[in-house]
Amino acid sequence: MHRADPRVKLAFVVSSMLLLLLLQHSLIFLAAVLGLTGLYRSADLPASKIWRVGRAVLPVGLLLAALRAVFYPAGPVLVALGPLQITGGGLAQGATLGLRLVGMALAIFLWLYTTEGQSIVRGLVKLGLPYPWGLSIGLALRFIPTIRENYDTIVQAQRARGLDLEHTRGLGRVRALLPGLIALMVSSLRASENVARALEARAFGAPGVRRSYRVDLAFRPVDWLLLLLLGLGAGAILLLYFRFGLGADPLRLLS
Amino acid sequence: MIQAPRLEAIDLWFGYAPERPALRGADLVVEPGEFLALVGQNGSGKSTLAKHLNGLLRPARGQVRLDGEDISGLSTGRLARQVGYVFQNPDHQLFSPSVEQELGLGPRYLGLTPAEVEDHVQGGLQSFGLQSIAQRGPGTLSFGLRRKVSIAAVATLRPPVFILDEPTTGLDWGSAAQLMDHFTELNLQGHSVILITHDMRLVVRYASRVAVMSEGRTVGSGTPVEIFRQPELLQSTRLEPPPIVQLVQRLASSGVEIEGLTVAAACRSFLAGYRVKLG
Repeated sequence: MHRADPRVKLAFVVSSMLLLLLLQHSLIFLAAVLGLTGLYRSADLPASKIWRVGRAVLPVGLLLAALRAVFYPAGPVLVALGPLQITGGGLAQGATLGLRLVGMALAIFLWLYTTEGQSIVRGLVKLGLPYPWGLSIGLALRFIPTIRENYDTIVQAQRARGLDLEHTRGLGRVRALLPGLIALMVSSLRASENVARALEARAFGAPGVRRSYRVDLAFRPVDWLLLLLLGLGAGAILLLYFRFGLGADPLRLLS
Repeated sequence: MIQAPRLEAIDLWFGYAPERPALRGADLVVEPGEFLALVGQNGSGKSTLAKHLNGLLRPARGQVRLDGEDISGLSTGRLARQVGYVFQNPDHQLFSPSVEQELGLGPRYLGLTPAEVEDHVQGGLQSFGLQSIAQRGPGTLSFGLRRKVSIAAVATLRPPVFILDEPTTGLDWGSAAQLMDHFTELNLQGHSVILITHDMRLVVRYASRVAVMSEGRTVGSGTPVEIFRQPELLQSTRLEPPPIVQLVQRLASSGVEIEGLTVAAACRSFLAGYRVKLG
């Protein structure tokens, strides 16, 4: 997984995303999540990385699932709490939504965890993206963990000044953390300005210069094989979807 | 006089990731009113240990005691009244639209009355000489001033213990000395000061005791003179004494006995020795 061409991995991410958006049945998404988890393990990524992705998207996924289950009733009523009804269809759609989000996050982070920043840029540029754009995307991705780390430090700094987060919940917690977001924005803007200046100082974007590349990407036979397998797999799922209605309905596996 | 609490870290174990322990049984005692320097290489666990002293981090194993009381049951918000922590990067600790509001943020978090907040803010502005920029946005200030504001913002909490995490990084020597003199004054009033630094000149000039960390453990503790007299410890932890200390040590090995960790003290000792010799 780590050695595969970044373009193959990008193709995997894009096709995974499209299939996850197209299909509707939660069982398929559950299988996709399990399959992606298996790929994480086969790529020797520690369980803590899977958990980190899960921890980041699970709250949103669960919220979306709960909202969908409550506000989109369909099929038999399972639980009724006054005006609120949880139906079988609503629950299935909610599960679909939550699992879809988790699956998408796992696919994207599998690409990020197994591909170096420079390889991402190389792959995007090779696919025709202008180099400055590719570099911007690569830098933005590289800064995600830094921004996360900075945010943790900022929250620590707030707590060190007496902010009691341990006893603050809900909206109060969000309000309490707002000043930290401002500090995060200011420090991120400052950091991005510094990066831009550092790049300029190293002749990035110098006029009249045609950029050269030290490392060039080239497809190896194993990359072609992976691309072929990916194409066949995605094609088979699409065939089953269009021909036999596999996963086309959130309530029935085959329609 | 301020009565600072006694802080004690006993056999602390902590890891940011399970496979990478940052603390491996670290111990530390900070006596009331002490000016302690915490030194060691990058990644030796200095900041991690210090963050345990005010509850920002909680140990996987071990205990932190404040005046003998285990702090595991105390919230960080409550501990902030006792132990103030100044972070390395000022940009991570400035949250407000003006310097004045920045200095009032901590006291407001602590639930002080508006009159008390005002009193703390005005005191902070005055003692750090920030009155002229009180209405300016902290983000628009120079690095040195942002650093000063971030320190003043912690000082307005008036905690008995200050932890200063590399507070002089990016400051010229004059500004650094001015800042440290301010904390010396607070120390004389009874505040404990824990200074995390790589600058050995600050250590010899301001600290009464040094704790040396290496690979998540405290491997040495003593007065600066005691620490700088241990070549094996210095070598294993890659600490380099200030040039004047190295000079005094070389002269001693050549039979010229001079004492002192600062240039002024070494000169006084040298002159005093010659006066004796000259009768």
